[in-house]
Amino acid sequence: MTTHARSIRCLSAFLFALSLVGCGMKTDFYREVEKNLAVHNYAVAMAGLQDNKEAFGDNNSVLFNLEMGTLLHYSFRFDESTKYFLAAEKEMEELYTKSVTTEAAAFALNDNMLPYEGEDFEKVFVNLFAALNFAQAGDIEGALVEARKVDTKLNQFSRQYEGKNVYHQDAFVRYVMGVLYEAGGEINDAFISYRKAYEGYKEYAAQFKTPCPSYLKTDLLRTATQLGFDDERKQFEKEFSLKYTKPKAKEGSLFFVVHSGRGPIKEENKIKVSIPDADGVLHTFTVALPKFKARERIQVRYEVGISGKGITATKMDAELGEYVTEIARKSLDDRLGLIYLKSGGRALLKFLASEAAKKELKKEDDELGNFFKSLAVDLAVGATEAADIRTWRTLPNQVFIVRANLPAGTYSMTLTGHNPYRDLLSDMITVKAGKAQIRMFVDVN
Amino acid sequence: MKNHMVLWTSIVVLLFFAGCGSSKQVSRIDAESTTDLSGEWNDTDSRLVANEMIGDVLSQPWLSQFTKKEKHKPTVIVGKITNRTSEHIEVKTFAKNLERAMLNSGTVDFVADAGEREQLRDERKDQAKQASEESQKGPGKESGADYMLIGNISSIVDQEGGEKTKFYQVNMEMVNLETNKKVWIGEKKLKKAISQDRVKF
Repeated sequence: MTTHARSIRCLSAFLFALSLVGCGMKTDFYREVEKNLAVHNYAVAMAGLQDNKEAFGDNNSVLFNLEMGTLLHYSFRFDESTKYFLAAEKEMEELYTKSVTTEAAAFALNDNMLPYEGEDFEKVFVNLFAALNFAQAGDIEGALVEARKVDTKLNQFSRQYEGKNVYHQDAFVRYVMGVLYEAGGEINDAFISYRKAYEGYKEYAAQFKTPCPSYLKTDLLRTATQLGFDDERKQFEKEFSLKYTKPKAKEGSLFFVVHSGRGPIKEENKIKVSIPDADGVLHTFTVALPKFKARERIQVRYEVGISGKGITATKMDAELGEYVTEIARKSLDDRLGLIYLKSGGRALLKFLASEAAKKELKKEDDELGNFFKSLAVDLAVGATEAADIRTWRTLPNQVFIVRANLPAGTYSMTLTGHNPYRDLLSDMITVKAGKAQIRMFVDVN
Repeated sequence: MKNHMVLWTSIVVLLFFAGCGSSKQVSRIDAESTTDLSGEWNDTDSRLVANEMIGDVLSQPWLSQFTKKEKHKPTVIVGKITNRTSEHIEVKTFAKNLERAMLNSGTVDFVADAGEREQLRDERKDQAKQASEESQKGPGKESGADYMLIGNISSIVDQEGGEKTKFYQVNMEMVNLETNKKVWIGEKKLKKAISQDRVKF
């Protein structure tokens, strides 16, 4: 065999191998899944996922469990949903242990080679959704267990990033914890959780475009009054410019959650980096980084109407409790420094290898052939440099909340969406004195 | 050269066999033995804490004081034990361990808890309709408890990288059902260190 033929063979084998291993998970089937999700056809959406379980493979089993868990959550099948979420959580924890061989392969090619262990915020949201599952299934203790896990994880991330991470507390989870404690009659714990939630929302306002919901302010005043914490009550009344009046009859409460809009997706952001060599010649190579892209542009609004015997019919605005897309963005930014270092190192390595390959090719006489072979090497290197754009896609864009405190009784309730105007729900609710119930509506379309 | 061939063949054969065989093995172990797999609250913790708690509560003066005054053993019921940890703990198993340890000591009597009572009352209602008159058990003859055992399990988790410590605290109280007086407060602490490797080959 001539040198020429051998080099062509080697090159083809190299390109073929790269093309096989370099690509990430096929995600075309998501289009159908999301189309069904938008029309609340969760069973078909789930069947779509199950049919494509092979595409997820072992490497993306965390993602499969997260998506299944979410679709079951949206279908009000809370127990089954929790099973998937807890399975995802377990796998995420196990993936803390990295395989040296897989890491090495990923360093040579790209991060799509690695098993997907989830973004930091995804590791937290798995417990947040599980908490909402337990709460809606009536297991307050179970819901609180999941909420506490959120705390432990966020503390751990803060330590990992030496306190520089933006997403280091979850105000929404704190708020839900308060509601759960209050539902269980533990007013002191409820007050502490509300206060921590309030502190959290101060940061949320600056970081995630999520100011403190007005309902939380009332909750703080109510629990402070119940506990006889007069100093705190007065301080909050001054801070909120609100006066709290004790209700005449014993009240119960409704905590209404609306999952709204499609969560963000990741896209690839290619950056060109140039470095000069010893002769001063500038060499340019590409670094591919993941970036979150919002899928919702229009700001929707929701309104809950409540009417019934003994109360004046009221309309309450749903307020933003958790802005998933914003948290996703900032949470990825926290990690971006590390990704950049890794991708930069990898790009440099590939660049050096390709330069060496081209140098070898230049030893041969066939100028035109060499040009094409060099081009092929560049293309192959460029093709393998791909950002890891895997993400939990069935998450909502935002989570809205309404908290209504009502005298015990049965009421009719409506949910209206604005931008565009839609009548979304008309239902009856029964409120029991001293009890709280968590209800949910899914408007992820 | 020949030696190399033998060496390589042995390695390949070894690797081949390493990949075969059944991946699941079952062996029976003593139910009392300590098994720590995930580092989470397990049956051993539940049993050990229950035994120690009960050993403590039964050695305190309230018991002898009650027996001396009332001339009979006190009747106890296990009330709510709240899980305040970040793990889904089967509190019912723990409550049963407590109940068994106390009952087996022979120094207290036990009555069925709220859930069990419902079941027994349903059975009595059924007997009133279906059973012969002489074998029927009538209502209004239940023994009321003198004391209620309540408590909670809480935990603190500290984690850095693959190193995790879990600190459990179990608090229990024995409360007089008539006077709401607490006659005993006990606590038991457990600490576990769990480590997970950063890399595998």
